[in-house]
Amino acid sequence: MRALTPTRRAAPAVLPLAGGGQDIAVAGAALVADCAGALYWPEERLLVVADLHLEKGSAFAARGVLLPPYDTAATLARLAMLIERYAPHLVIALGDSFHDGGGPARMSDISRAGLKSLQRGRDWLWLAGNHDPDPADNIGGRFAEILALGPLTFRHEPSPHPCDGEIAGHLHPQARIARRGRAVSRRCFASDGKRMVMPAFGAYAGGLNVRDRAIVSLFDALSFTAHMLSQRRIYAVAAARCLAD
Amino acid sequence: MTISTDLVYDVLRRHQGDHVLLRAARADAATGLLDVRRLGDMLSRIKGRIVHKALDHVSPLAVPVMLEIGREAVYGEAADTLLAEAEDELVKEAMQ
Repeated sequence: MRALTPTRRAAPAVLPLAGGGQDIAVAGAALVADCAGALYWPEERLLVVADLHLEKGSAFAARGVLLPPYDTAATLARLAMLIERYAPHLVIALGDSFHDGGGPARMSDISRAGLKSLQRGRDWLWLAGNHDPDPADNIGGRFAEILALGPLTFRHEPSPHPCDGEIAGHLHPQARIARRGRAVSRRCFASDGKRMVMPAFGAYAGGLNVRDRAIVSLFDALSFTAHMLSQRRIYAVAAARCLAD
Repeated sequence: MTISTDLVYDVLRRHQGDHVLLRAARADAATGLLDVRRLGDMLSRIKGRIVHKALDHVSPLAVPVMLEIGREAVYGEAADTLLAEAEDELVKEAMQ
């Protein structure tokens, strides 16, 4: 992992359900960004989610930080709604799918059965993340570091160099705007049409402001757009209009 | 690590509505912010004897309430309005 692990803030509470989509083209591929924080590629019947961080609650509990242990169930339930809506042939989890290497083993039987039922009848690909670099047992699917498909390349951590067609996660982008004396912070897709960083999907995942250098440095300065998630739709706001923390 | 208390609240409410933290939060809110028991007692006491009347001016007992207007935010659709405004600026800029 690069030495750019900036402080993440607590994520905004609003976690929209599957619903309104926005058309976004990346490197010529016609994609749909769903306001639940997932990406759908109709041409390939492909659904992408990033940074599920399953079993984060139980990872913290093991270290004495007690959080309600329902994050895995909440995240899988939101994912189930997306899968029902899009009926994808392939689901890609873009890494950091589990919060740590022990996550898959700690998953409850109910969650595991839920996950398996989501995988039924479709291909499922776990890409390696920095939290979960190794393939795990008993979570179904196949494992890879990276997947190239047509003009797009899917991987966990964004490449530090210009990288046309790259769809990555890892950074948990969120954007903040203020109008009329009130600030609104939301998870977002960050994209300049050439590459994209997806929002974290996990219920307990934090967020990193898009004005942070770790995100800005991926694009040509502030020439990208923050596609901010809301309950029913996505709002596209120029990065230059977003506020730093 | 930071975690949003809203998030914990939402997750608990959905999955374990009788959790001790939620009961404590409700108990706090019922005494700290508003004395729900007193309010309940009063509502039972005056039941059937409430007269609703639209006034053409502010009544003396309404003054404290009027002074609170704008001091408490209720989160809802307003955030979407602000997001839509920020988005419109992008569109306007692009059309220039």
